[in-house]
Amino acid sequence: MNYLLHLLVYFDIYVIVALSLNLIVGYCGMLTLAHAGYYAIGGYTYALLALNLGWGFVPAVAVAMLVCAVLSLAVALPSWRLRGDFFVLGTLAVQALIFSAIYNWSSPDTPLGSWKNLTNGPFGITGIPRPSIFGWTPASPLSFTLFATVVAGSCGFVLWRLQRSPWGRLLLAIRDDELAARGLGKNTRFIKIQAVAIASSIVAVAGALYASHVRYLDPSSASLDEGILVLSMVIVGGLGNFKGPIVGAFVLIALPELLRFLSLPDTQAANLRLLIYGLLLVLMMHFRPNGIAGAYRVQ
Amino acid sequence: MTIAAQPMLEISARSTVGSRVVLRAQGLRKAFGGQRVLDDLDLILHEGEVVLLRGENGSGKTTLLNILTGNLEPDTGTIEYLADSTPRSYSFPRRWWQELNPFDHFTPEFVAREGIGRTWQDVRLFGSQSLRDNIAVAKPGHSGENPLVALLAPARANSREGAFNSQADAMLARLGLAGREQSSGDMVSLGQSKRVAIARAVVAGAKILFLDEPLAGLDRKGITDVLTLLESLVREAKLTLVIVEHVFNFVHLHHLVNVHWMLESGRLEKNHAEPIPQIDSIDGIPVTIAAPSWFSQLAGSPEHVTSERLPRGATLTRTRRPDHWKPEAKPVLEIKGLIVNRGARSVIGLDEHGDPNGFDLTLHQGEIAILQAPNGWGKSTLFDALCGNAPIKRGTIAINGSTVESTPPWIRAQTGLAASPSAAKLFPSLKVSEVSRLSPHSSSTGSIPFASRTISSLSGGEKQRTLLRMALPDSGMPQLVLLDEPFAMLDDIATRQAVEAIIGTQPHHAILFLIPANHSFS
Repeated sequence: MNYLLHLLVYFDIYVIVALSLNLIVGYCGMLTLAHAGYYAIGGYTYALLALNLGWGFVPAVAVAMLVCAVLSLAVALPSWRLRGDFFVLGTLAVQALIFSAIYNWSSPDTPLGSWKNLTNGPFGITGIPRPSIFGWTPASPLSFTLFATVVAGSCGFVLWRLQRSPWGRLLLAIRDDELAARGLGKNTRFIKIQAVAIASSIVAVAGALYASHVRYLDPSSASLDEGILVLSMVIVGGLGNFKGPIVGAFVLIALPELLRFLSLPDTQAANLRLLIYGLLLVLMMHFRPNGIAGAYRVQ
Repeated sequence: MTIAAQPMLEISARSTVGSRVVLRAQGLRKAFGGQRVLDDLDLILHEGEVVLLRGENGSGKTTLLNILTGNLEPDTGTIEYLADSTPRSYSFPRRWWQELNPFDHFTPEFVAREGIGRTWQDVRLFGSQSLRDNIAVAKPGHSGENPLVALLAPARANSREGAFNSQADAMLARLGLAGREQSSGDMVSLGQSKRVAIARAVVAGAKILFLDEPLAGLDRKGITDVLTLLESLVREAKLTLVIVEHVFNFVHLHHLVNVHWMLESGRLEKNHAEPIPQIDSIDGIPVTIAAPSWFSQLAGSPEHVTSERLPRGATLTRTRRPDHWKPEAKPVLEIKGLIVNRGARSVIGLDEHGDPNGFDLTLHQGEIAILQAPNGWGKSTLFDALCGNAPIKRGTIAINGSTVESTPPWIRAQTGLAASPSAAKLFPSLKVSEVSRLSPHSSSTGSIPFASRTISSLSGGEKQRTLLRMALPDSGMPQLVLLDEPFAMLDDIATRQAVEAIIGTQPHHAILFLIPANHSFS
């Protein structure tokens, strides 16, 4: 039972990640690899504030969102001039920068959270407290699952409302033809900054949720592998609508878990699972190029 | 019968003398790689003027349009936008510190807010959005476009949205598109999408509208619809228009245009009094249907010209080269019972009632055929099906006796198909000489003066000439030469040269033109 609840929490976390990433990739047409970096920054910010300063979940997450929104300029500003492959490379550079900063921002002789040892480098941060919401702490697996579901639902509601608003329609117009949108007097640069900032601040919530669930955080949450995993979720599930990323998050969490039930030889199980997983992804992209439930194909 | 063009001098009865200046540009210069396109160009545009901007291919019409709409910075000069209540002036070259001011950029969005709108030749509707959204999104000052308002005050955003949607629906009804509000932007005909694009620019607040080939690719009905819309906008909304249009479509603009700008050697000459062919009318609608000059040049003697009606408003006109027409020989092209689908819908092979009965066409050596059909008839689909880029549902296609309907495009080229697709399918980073060497038919760039330039630097007309050069076989076995709107974007001289090139090909080739149905031949 705990195993299923654990998976449900993971599903909630990745639904937030995938839905927020969909705002950048599916609605703005900007393929970013840096999203996992902001996910990690959100988690680290929450961890430091909760661990070192004893902050509650809500204020710590609010600061994490603000930090990610400001740092999201590293992705949004290059999008003014970079397009297509060059933009992807730019976001890859941002991802590498974030990962390097988290990995190297440590000093063994100084306490965690000091300016010299902000992240504890490759050793990560342990003992991250459970979230505390106005004095209530979801300590049991069931209560944490409910809490994570409420948080994911709230983030999903915010994104749903934004995507269905005239602002969301404007994002689609920019995605379809940015030059035509500019010709109608729309400040597409500013709107892209807004979209990336909103998506980055919302993924910070997922990072905080992850940190408070696992209670340990290391640089791997900002790795390129993680970035590709979350990108796979939105591409496999489908871009440009609300249900696609949710489907993608479900499939990419459920698929590796289902493969565990295959009777594979222990020595080769991990590699074979990866092989099958990759093959299924390739087949899915071949037969469903728009994703399972998508409305837009990334160029 | 060929309708002769009769000289008639402009200008319309509407006078613009004394009306206020809405746009002024002085000393505009622009060069690309040392080649000067605009040279100390001055212009003044008055409110209510309808300008036809003319010039040969490569004369800089699109460059001037791009500069005046904020898509391109001139090297030097001054532009004053005076249409809005708060005039704005830009001097070039701009200083680096001016770029730091977020409220003073020379970009399309800043220029658009000065009341400048534009449409593109390739329309550029937002394809994933409905027609209603395409128009509603253009409306300036929508509070719902602020994410905070959209999130925290949805009632306020929804109320504005409702009002904007009603206005968009009213605009669509005015365009004759009532009931199509939810149609996707990429699922309407070219004529409809061009009208929506114009309406969208007007809704965005355009007081001066720059139109890049608004009639290109349209059939008769499409031309009539666009012209009716433009006339009503000029009459009712006092819109100022600057139109760049293909030479073939000048005649359609007769009623509308009151000023001519001739772009020559990088400068403008205003009120250039060029003869305009006389306007004809169809069912009382002021639209000219005239055979273009290239047809008589191509057809030669009229006794060799025959026409036949095809279903759904298409016409097939054939002309033969008497010494080389060989009806007894194996046909160069033989299509039997062809049905081609786009998605689930049959496009090619429909009869008058829309039933899929198959499309037949036979072309022999020495024969030139012109298939003119309305927008949406399926010309592009037929082109793709013949080239092997669109799967066919039923029927056979034989080139020089070999059935090719199941062969890939490169095998068809070896069998005897030479096709000239749209200019968008050229290789933008290659030089003209390199592109020419890629052609299986022609490697000589002989008389092309721009052989050393890259495709992306060419004007629309130059690209079209390059395509024709690639498609026309120099020699060899009888070929099927397939030309998709080969003279689109070519000026008079270039068209004449292109026709000469076509006539000069091996006379045993069979040539099939696909063009929109806005000309009449007989």
